[in-house]
Amino acid sequence: MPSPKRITAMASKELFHILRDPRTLAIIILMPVLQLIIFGYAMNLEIRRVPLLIDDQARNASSERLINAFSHTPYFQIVPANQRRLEPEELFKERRAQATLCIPVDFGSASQVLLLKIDASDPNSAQLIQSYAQGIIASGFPASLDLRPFILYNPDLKSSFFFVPGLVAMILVMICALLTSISISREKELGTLEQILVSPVSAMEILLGKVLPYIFLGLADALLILGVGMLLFQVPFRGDFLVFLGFTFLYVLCSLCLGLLVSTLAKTQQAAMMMALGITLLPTLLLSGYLFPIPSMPWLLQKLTYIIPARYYLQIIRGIMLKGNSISELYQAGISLGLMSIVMLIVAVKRFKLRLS
Amino acid sequence: MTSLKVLASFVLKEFRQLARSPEMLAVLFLLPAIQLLVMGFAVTNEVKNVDISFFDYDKSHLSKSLIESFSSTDRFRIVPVSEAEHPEELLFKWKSKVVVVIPAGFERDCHGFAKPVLQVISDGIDGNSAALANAYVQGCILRFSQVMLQSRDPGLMKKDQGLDLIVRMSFNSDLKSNLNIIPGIIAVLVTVSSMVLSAISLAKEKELGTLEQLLVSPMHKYQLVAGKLLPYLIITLLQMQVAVLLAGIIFRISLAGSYPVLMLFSLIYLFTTLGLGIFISTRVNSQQQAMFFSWFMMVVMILLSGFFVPVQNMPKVIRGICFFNPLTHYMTVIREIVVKGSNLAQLRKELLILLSGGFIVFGFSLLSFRKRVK
Repeated sequence: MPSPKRITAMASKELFHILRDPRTLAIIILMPVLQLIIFGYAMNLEIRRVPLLIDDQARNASSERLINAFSHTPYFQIVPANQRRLEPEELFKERRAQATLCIPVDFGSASQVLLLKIDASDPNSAQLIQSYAQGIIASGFPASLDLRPFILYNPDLKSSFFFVPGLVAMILVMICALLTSISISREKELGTLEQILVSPVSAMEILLGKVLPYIFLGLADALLILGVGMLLFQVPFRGDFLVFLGFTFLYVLCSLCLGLLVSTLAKTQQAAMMMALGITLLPTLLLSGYLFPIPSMPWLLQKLTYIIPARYYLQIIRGIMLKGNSISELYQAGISLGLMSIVMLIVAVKRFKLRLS
Repeated sequence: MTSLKVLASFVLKEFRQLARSPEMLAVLFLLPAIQLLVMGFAVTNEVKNVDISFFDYDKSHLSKSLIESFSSTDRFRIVPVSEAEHPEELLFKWKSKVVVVIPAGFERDCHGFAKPVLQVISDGIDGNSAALANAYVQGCILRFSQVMLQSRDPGLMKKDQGLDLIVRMSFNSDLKSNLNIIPGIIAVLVTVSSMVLSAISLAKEKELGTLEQLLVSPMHKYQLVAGKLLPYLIITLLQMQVAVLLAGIIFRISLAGSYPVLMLFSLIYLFTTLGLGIFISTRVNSQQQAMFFSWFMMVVMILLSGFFVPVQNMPKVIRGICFFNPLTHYMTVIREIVVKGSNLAQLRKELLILLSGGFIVFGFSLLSFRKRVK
């Protein structure tokens, strides 16, 4: 029977460990906030001010009207043509222009053909430049189709709506899995785990005492991120907060099991750090759909994402916050998280016992 | 003993230490390779296989061929829907990302004089991907309507469309996102290896107390620093060769520019990152702190380097900050050389910035190292 008193004692010991290293603590708390601010303000794929060089050989009324159309959008910034005529490729290498538009001599009368050359070394921007240019050129002419786009949940397509919930998932896995595994393997490396094990504290109490402070730290950091995100970037919270807390608890549990598993695998702090990075942080960063869309990945990586807890939690938190989903839409993701926790816990406990005996 | 010999023996000691732990060697060479592979495939700005569903209330020949036109690309994956479902419900339940509603009478309007209407409802939670997906959907529909117009009345097409825009993509005509991402990953790898490894290695000597021993040995401070940094300089350059080789073999990315120029820039850039490594090590007490510190710097440097998002898209203040990020300039250089084959003259601005940056950062770090040591 685990006694609350002994668990509190273990937990307060762990808390001292955390507080004694204020620099690491500061980084853990400040990094997500800084990331949030960078993501919210700087991560925008929408291109602006593309340096465009217009080679106007026609110099007539219609070419002027066209140039005007280009210069009156925020997307393009007209670069003055140089005396020295450079090939577009050379211009791109000098990085004085990202696109060139060639208006032929007989434009407006005989010919209606325009040549747009785009520096495609950044393919995404190139594609956007193309569609903006097409939009500008088509805007003067009646469209053949009435296309009515509706964007739900995030009509302004703000990137912060996507990143704030994602950061919460990152923080929780970072603190609950990474820090827990390092803290357990540190005790192992320094030999203090043996000392605690021979004390009248049971293994269950040790584990609970060790993870409790990290659970609170993780949840507090996550709530801080949510608060900052909602205040600074007006990220909505459309769903039920209690449902959110319930699923978050499940995810925290899953992350802790992962951390526990890593700590039973690693012998030293250094190894735990590297493994925790390789098993928890990088996959969460790259393969969970936090930054990069899963459907765009190759087949094998898409399958790999199924064993990454953050993948499920991201759907849950984005669903609750942005779409207002409730349990009936998200129970499958919840079940996956629960199953993963159970499997990892069984393996970790088996290995932990093996080490002790 | 001449000073060069001292240095050489110290460098040898570092390499011996590294070679003694096979895990460390694996971390040094296997990890970057795996990172390049996983990141090369996973890190993409491309939007592919977007789940799209169609509510076809017209059920005409034309509406079917419109739907068909979406199945030909790998940008979309058509999700079948049943009559009972509601468009918004599909998005709410995560079954689809984009829903196109084709109203009854679509074909009739296309052939008549009324303007045909289409409704496109999309899930905006991933703002950046949604913007791209929306652009693709609109492009697809516009192309379809053009083809439709042309087949209906070839003469009308000319009058209606007016302008004909021919688009040429330079350097990357297939618009492969790899070509942009892989050089970026190499830049990140070079930064991570040199900065994190040198910081941790110096912090380790500090934590274990062996730094004190080295300091009282008859060795100059500069020999100590050079001996500590040279191995990581060499290792990072070696890692870079592996990465460039892998990029060529697996991702079929060949260097458009000159190899010596790339190496020259890398060497100059390494002064900055190794300097940052020393600087971090002077501010921390343990390896764990060194790791967290260098990791913290890495994240900020990567995010503000233009790796994922071009710097010119960012607001003015942040562009100002990006200018002081050495990785921004190295990222530009490596991409320009690999993709466009720019020469030294075209990169003179970056050369100047990286040279002066390396000089300032390295010098400052050495000074603060000396001060700490005293």
